[in-house]
Amino acid sequence: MVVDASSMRTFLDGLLRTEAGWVELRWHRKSSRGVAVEDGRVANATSRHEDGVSVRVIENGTFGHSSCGASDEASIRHAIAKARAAARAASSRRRIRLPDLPASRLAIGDFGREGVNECMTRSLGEKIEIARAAEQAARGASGLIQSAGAGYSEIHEAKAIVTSDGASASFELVRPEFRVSAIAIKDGVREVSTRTRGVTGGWECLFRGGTSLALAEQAAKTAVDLMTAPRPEGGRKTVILDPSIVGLLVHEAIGHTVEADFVAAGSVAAGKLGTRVASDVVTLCDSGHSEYANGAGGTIPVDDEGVLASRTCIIEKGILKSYLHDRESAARAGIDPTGNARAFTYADEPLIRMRNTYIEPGDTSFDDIVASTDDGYLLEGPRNGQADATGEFMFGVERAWRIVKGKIVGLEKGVTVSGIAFDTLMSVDAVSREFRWDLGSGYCGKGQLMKVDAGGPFVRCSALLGSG
Amino acid sequence: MDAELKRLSDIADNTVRIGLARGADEVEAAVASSERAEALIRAGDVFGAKTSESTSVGIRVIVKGGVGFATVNDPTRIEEAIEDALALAKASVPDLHAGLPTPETLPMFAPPLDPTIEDVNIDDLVASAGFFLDQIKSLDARVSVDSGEINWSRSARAIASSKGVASRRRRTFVGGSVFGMAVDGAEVGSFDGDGDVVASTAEFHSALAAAAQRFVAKCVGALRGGKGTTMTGTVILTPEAVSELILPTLLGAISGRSIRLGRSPYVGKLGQRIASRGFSLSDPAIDARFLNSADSDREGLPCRNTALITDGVLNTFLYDSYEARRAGVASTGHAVGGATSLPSVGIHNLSVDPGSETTASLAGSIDRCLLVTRWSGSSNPVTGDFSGVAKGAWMIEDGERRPVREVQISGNVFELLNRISGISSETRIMEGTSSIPSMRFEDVIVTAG
Repeated sequence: MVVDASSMRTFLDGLLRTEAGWVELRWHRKSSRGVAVEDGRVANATSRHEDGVSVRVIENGTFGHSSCGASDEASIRHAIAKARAAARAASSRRRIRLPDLPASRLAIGDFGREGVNECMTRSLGEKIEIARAAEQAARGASGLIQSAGAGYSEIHEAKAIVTSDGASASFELVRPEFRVSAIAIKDGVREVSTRTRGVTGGWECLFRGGTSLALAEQAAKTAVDLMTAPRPEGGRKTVILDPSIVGLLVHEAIGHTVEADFVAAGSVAAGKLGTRVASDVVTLCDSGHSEYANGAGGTIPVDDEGVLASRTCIIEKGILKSYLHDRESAARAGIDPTGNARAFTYADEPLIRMRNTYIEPGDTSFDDIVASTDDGYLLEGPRNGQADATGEFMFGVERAWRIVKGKIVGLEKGVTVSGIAFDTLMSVDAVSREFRWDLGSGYCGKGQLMKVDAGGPFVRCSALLGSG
Repeated sequence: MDAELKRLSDIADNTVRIGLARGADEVEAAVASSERAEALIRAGDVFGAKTSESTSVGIRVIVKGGVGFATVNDPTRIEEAIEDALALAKASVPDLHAGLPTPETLPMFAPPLDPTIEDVNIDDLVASAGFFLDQIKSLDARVSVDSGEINWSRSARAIASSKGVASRRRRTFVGGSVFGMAVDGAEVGSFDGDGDVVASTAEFHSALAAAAQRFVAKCVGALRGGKGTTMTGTVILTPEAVSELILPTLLGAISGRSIRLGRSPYVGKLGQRIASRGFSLSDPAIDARFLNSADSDREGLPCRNTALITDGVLNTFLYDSYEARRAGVASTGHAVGGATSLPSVGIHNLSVDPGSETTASLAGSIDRCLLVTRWSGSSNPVTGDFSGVAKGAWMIEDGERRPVREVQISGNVFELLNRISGISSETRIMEGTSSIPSMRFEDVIVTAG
């Protein structure tokens, strides 16, 4: 039997009425489909479906969590009993009890299903074809392309979240993704280039920055061009980060250090509220909404504690203003929760996670920023990224464009960029008016995976480049 | 066969029957169940506890050469999943090489069982979490635990196919992990983590105590990091750093898929030297010392102990049944993955042979080198180029050792394998599945910030 989120919310609301104490129930259905094509072959065509109910309770000032893969009353009541037992067991050792959780900003109502019909009613054949055609286009773009791959996937989620203190929300959303890569090989030299897109919404959103075939051609051209590109010189450099790399910077280097659970453990952002951590051209936010452009991949109307997921200004004109909170950390801080509690599946408990993290656009054009750069690099295309409690970050970049005397003079090979997060933000001296979400494919890992997005304008700063 | 394995086998057999009746040419069903309990650690405290139970079914069908795969976490909805898999297979592009493997005789292997581990309960896990936190705190109060967990998991899996494959396994582990850093006044050290997984309750607290010691040593050692030295020179990687920087790229390059797609520098290199003498790598897939050991792989084909590289010479590539068919060889039993994912090529366990030098002596005779205990960066799996930040790094110059920060190391993994100048005689078994020594490499590019 297929149920919808709204009717499941009504069912869970009724079930809660006979439970004592604080109880949170979250029904979460997650259905995904994906197809991957490589070298003309459908390497995999998969479908994954899981649904169930997450149960969280508080006993003796301690959280207990359990889950069940069935959504009937008996299974949920059994899971509630198990969660209570787990909480009581953990409370024997918990030193600091949970504070009362104020019922502020709790969501009530149904929050829609934008893009779901547009995406889910497209045929399976159409979805396979888009990957097959892109792979073929990438492979056929040059005689140097020896191998190519392309993939399309989508995740359709439906949730109903109710708590005994008043949250009662339901919604559906869909997140399609597209990926294409090309590998050029000649005389033992290998280069690979990848283009990805990932959004919350329908196909129109997904391909707003270019068609699947255009992305395939870009990947193939870059792989070929990188074959003959020189390696960048290592060392501290002036760099212009494109929105995808800005996204990595704000997510990895700043966002994680301001997650309140990490702050409590002593991250480098601890104790810095109200102090200057960036130059005054930097305003940095995390939002459950898709600010400035549609389709950001981490968009949620309500978080997994039933809190409205609004915009949080983390850094305003260089001053650290807020951390990212769940209900517990917000209660300890004496502020409203920011709607950052998220769980990957029904079997996971909510953790403090980012949603869409970005630097706000400025009023300078990208062209003017390049023209005023005497010696440096424009860095494009994220490969990966990680950050440290110290604020030290590292991320891999696919393309480094050399800039000399205000002009882009040529492509150089991928590079690793590193630095200390707040030092890097302090070095920002230019922020473009152009804005893009560009990290919507892939996942953030923090014990659980999570869909997030990040982006922003083009940003000029100083950072350490590794060579090669 | 115990009751749970019988339940899962019955579901798998039934799934295969339904799949064939609905029109599949071939069907494989993998059915897995899991019970898990965890004591959760946040900000140095036992934050809460959780339990979960699940049963998942993964169904692979082949229709006229098209392959579809579907999973569901509710065994009462198998028919819907089969229809999904069939729809995917029919919409897919036919592949002449698609097919399920025929069964082979499995080796006689049964992992040692500790009956006491079956009785571990949530109270035991909470007590162990307290023990773990106390160990860490008693070693150095400057270490701040951000997050962690103590967990117990019992899993079972049955695989059946229309070709007659029948594979079953069951296992129970206890494990623990923590992540955090040292905080000394205004100074915050590098983020680090440690932990272990064992299959015996008798070993559990000693494993946690050892993990606590390693964790504290890494966190505290990273305080007061200074500026490194830019050089092209000697770098020593601890077992953790070897597992992060060297092995993923190497293992990807010897997979049959990389070879078939021409994405590996090792195409045509079987029997040839690809690494320095003294470097030997194997997959001890049916070795009782390693937790992933089992008699069969994800396709139900036999696992075996496999020497992958011996004294620097490449012995074999890794194959599942599809890649083996494409290469015209037999599967090496290297299909891996869970019930909810398509089988893919990978290893079960991993062992790098120890060398002849003590860990301490690896740096003893070197005027200047960088010791790296953790690496955070990217390796290009196709080119082998890598670049990233050395974490928990120390410069060792004229016998003096000092922590350094903001140091990048870069180069090429495939080239580095030919520049191994030392391997430690001590190895560390990590997460119960990998035995790795420390290794010394020459001519590595080190860039100080």
